[in-house]
Amino acid sequence: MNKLLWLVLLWVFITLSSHATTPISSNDLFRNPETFSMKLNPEGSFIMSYGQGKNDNFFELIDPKSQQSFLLLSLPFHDDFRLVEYQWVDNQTVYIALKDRVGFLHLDLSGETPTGKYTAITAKGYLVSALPEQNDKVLFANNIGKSKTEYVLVNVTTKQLEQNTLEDSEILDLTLDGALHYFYDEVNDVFLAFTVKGDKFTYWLLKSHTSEWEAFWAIDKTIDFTPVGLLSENTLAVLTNQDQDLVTLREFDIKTQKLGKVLFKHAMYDLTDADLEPMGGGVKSVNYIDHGIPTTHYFANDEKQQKRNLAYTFDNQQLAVVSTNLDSSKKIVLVLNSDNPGKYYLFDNIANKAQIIKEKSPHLEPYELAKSTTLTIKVENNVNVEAMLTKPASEGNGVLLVYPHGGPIGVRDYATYDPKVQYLTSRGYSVLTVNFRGSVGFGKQFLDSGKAQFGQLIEQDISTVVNAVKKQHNFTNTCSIGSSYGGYSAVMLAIKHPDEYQCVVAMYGVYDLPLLFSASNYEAREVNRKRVIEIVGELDDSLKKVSPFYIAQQLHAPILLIAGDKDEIAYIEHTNRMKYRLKQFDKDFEVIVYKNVAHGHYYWSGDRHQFAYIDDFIKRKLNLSEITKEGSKAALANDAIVIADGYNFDKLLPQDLPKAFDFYRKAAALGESRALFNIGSFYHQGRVVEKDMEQAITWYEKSSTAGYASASYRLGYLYQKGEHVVKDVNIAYKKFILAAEQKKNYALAEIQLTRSICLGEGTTTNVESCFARLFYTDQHDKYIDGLDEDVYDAWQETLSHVVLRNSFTVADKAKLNAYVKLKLELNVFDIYAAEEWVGFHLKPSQRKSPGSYAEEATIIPLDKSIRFGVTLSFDTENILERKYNKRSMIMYKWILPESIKYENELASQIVGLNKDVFINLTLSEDYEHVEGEWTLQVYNLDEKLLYEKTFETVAKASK
Amino acid sequence: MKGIHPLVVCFFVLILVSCASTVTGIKKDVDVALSPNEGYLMLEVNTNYDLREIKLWGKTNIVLTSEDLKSGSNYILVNLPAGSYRIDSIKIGRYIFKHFDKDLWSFRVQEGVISYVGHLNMQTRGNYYGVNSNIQLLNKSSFALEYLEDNFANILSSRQVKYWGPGEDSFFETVNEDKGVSQ
Repeated sequence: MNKLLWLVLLWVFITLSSHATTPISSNDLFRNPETFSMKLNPEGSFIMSYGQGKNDNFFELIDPKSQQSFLLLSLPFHDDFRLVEYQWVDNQTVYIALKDRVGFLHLDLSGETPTGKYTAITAKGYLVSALPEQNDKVLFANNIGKSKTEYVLVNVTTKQLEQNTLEDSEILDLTLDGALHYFYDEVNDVFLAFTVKGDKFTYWLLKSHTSEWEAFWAIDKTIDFTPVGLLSENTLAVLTNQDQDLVTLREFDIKTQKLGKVLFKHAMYDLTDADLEPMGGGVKSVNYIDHGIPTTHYFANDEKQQKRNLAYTFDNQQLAVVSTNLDSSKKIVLVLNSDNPGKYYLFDNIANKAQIIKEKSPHLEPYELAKSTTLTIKVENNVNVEAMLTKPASEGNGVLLVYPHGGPIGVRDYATYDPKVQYLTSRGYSVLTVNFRGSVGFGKQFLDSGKAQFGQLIEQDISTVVNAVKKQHNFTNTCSIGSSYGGYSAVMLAIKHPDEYQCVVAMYGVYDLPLLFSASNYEAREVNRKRVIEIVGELDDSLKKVSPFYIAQQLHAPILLIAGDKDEIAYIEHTNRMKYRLKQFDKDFEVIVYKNVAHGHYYWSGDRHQFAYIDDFIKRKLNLSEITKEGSKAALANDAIVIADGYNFDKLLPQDLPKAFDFYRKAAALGESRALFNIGSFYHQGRVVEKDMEQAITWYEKSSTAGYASASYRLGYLYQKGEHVVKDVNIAYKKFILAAEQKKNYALAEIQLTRSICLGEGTTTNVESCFARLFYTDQHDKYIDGLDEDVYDAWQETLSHVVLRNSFTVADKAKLNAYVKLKLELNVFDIYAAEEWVGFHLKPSQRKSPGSYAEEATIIPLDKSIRFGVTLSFDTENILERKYNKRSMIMYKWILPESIKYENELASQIVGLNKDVFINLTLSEDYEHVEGEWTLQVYNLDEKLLYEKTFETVAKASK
Repeated sequence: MKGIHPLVVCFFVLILVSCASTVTGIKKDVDVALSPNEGYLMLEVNTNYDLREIKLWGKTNIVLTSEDLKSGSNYILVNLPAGSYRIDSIKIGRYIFKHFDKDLWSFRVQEGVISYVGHLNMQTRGNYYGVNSNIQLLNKSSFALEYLEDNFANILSSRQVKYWGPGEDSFFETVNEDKGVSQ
């Protein structure tokens, strides 16, 4: 019987283990895709791809035939290089507009490897059209005045633009006064423009072969009105919801300014976009969001057939045509879905074949992503709402997260790939998003019915959906989570349904609705009050009944509040007064306030921290066990170290070292190599824990074994110096070798290896290799000057050691000194030292003028704040060398009292003639607080002793 | 203004300016015996730039000095005659003033209570030739209350705090009703 029970348990264990989800690393989810966009050249032979690398954004040319890609242009990560737009001008030229410059990328396809050269346009303005039918001519809006609206339209070559010789170009007499932007419809040969005067936003049209601009629509902000294109000479197709509930595609008569017949209306959804055939050809396609999925509906039969073919090929995937060549024979199709962040295919219409070009986010390929299912739930007679349920790809943790969206009016959720949802589902949670009343895409009435329904109809809709979902799926726990309005809603749901929700995560939320009317002097203005009243409702006591701040006592679930201190949408005051209230009622709450963060994070690193903390909070509050499935450790360890770093570095959050230490321990337990190192570092520095070098070295060893290069380097350094361990240059050498293997181009480790090679520490001396490495003979002349500060310091220290301790032949020594003089640009060597001051001062922070207030002495009282030493100046007896900018180098070392077993570092310093140099020592370490003699020796480059001084430390009382 | 010599106008302006009294914030947690018709004003000035002075015009004209206006967060608690006031101007450098229109920067000081009127948040960018400041009067009542609890518990125990900045707010009354209440 027992045997049977064990077998059953074993089966359950194996089943659970194999079904448990595998967490996806937040580093892979919260980051930009590798490819942002792609565009086909006019003949369809090459693809321009814009993407992101480790240190840059870049354009590369993809040859679909050979499936090779060629880097053409790299743009550093900088706001000035932010891409505005790019488009093919012809098969060899691409127009690229960046934030602070525009220009052309000229392709050279003649060689084996295509190359590109970017030339900036000196003429001010922007490209209106590449005029694909005209060879080497483009249409350019040339800014001719100081105002942003003083443009002339010119038909010009790329060369004329680059050389700013527009006087030879054809100026088109088409200027519209005050036009902010021009558009050109090549197919129908019409110009579009818009102007803004005060609050009035007007659309203008200039038809082919006419010279008069016609104003065809002035914006009414309460109505959606988006021109799509010309159906005929006098008829536009527009997307509008005027006089009807849904946004539909309608005719618009330009002369009478009246809407005509409906061209397409979806039964349930607002249209989001449309495309027309050339004038007279009717409508090509319309777009809408169907069950949360962006959808294109085609009207022409051949397009329908193509879509059917693609849909057959890519079953259950969303398809978006992102680029087409000039004759429409080839298309780039982006295939994506809630569990597919996107793959680009080249589709050949004639051959009816699709070829994979690239994945948007190849780093996610190894993971199994979760798929969203859209549900339609009846919430009232004749009112349905759509919701998206995303369950983990494998067995979950039984927790349903109800995740209302922000807004609440005019915003919506989609059934598309979402890194937040994938992060949570990969950690076992099921995520439910709801397009409650007030969401956009379902008509005006649906949108308006959510207004002034904070804590009422909106939360009713969400709750109805939650109940329906729970009837079909089993969950052991439910938590509410949301951002902005979603943060508010998350709290209200838990207050209204205390038995349903076991925890709450509220991010960047509003909790005191009356405060929306008085959050600042600007918010208190009448114009703002009207805006708030429209969305939230009138300012009266009824708002308090639906404000979490006023009814906080009714909240029973533990809550995590997350806010940004620079948030000017949901001011930090909302979170702080909610915190005050929760404290007042002794509730279970935690608060995270991010520094220099507004209504959400600007950098992905903030999202990584935020979601790692949320997962940790929910697990703690619901007593969930950690995922132990094989392959989980790295992602979970990363979560822990991200939280620890947040507390350690005083950047995202106020520094809290005990918490940082706890989370480093957690990450270290999962084998995170940097966390193992940091634990060692906390012991080394005596931060949070008592200083314990034995522990420190043990943790450094673990970290080194786990592959962390800095730990290997740190160990090498300790063994090299004999600090806290028995000095052993052989071990040190091995650790430096390991560090250099663990991290490519690890400059510090390479410098220490140079020292070993030069001085024969742990290996045999190799003079040739020593010189090559020490003086970077394979690099350019100024390479050493460009080293990072810490690397330069290490290099200088190594140089001093090599100069003073080498066992080179006389010839090699001469060669070494020649190198030093050359590389450091030293020009005077026969120097002597003059003593200017000898003594100590008690406050090391007051360093400006050591001699002015400190005591002149060589007997030094033992005190941790004491600094003692000498001020020296250097000169030469050779009068001919006493010229300006004379540089020499000295080396110095301190010989410590015998009772101190550590060796003091040899140091070098470049000195100018007749300039004071302060050489000093601070007794910062406990072991240095001993009575004894401390001797300073100063040498020149030729190892000639220039100066020597002995100090004596004495206990304070005996002075 | 027709017929009045500009110098005469200047003279009266100077007289008015010279009438403003200089005040500094209370440093000790001692509830001073307020005169009849007096109350406490509480204002926080958060600035990334040392300010020279802030002029408050109203029942009496007040100048807050650089002592209370250092870069960072400065909570200012002063006793003043009760009545309506407004922030008139801020002096940033020797010759740089920011003047404010009346409607956006008005507040009240109520007799016998601590009138919290807001956090003057001022972020300044600029150089020798000129500066550009982003200035708001934020309602941060809960932060103000936490500050009073931590630094002026004595005064707080004998005085009510009321919000008298732009708009209406019942934060202080609400938390006061439930003081000492917990589940």
